[in-house]
Amino acid sequence: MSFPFVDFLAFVFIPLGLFFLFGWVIFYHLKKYGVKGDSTKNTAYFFVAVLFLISLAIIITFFTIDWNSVNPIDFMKKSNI
Amino acid sequence: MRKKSINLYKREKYSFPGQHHNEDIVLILRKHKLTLLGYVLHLLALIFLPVIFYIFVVPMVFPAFLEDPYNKVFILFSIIYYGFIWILAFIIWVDYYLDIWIITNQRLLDIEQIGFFNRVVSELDLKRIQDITSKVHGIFPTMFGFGNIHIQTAAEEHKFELKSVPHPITVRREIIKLYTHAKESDRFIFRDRDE
Repeated sequence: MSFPFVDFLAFVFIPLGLFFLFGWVIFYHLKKYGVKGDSTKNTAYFFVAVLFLISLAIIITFFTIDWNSVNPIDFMKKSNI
Repeated sequence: MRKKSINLYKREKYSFPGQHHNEDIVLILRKHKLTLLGYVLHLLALIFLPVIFYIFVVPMVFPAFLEDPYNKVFILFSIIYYGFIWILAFIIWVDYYLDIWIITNQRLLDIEQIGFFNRVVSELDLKRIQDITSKVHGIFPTMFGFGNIHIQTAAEEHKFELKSVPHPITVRREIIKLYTHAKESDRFIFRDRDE
């Protein structure tokens, strides 16, 4: 199986895209609507930080897989369906 | 006495967009944290789903997932799955954080966040309050001290409802004190004008 270019785009840009989208949404809301001085909003930083780590984990895991040896037909053969 | 009880909640360092000049925040209320318990339990069930799938289903139905490179593919899809769970938790938190009631010495603001891009903001002048009721109903609200507050205004059709707020009885008393104070200040203003 050759290097899956479309999958590469999906597994790199979708997680990063989601990270930036959610990061932007939360900070937009905190800035525009949040109560100033409220420490509860610090939780938002935690959410965004973990989301970044998840995005990073998706990208790293994607590159550790040997995509040439991933074969759906082989997978089905090894499964008990 | 009144001042002391208000100071328990007074948030002098706080401010919010659209705050009037000479307007002091007295109370900032959110739903009680226990109302998040239902969501947390749902999220926990979703978190353990891949683990249960890996322990019970994979060895019997998909043994290929136990060997290389398919185990890495399984990990990849699990991380993506957990990413979506995290985003779901994020949405629930934003809904909790931005659903807020702000009670000032002049008015009551009811801000409701619906999803990410829908907000409903209602405000009520404290002097227009006609009736205020606090209601604690059920075992958990009684044990953990939260409940609803209904505020009837002069406009008959609209009724303010503060749902699952902590210490509803104390909050109700506080609103009544603020209402009385606002009415008294109004009377003094009119008296000064008459004189």
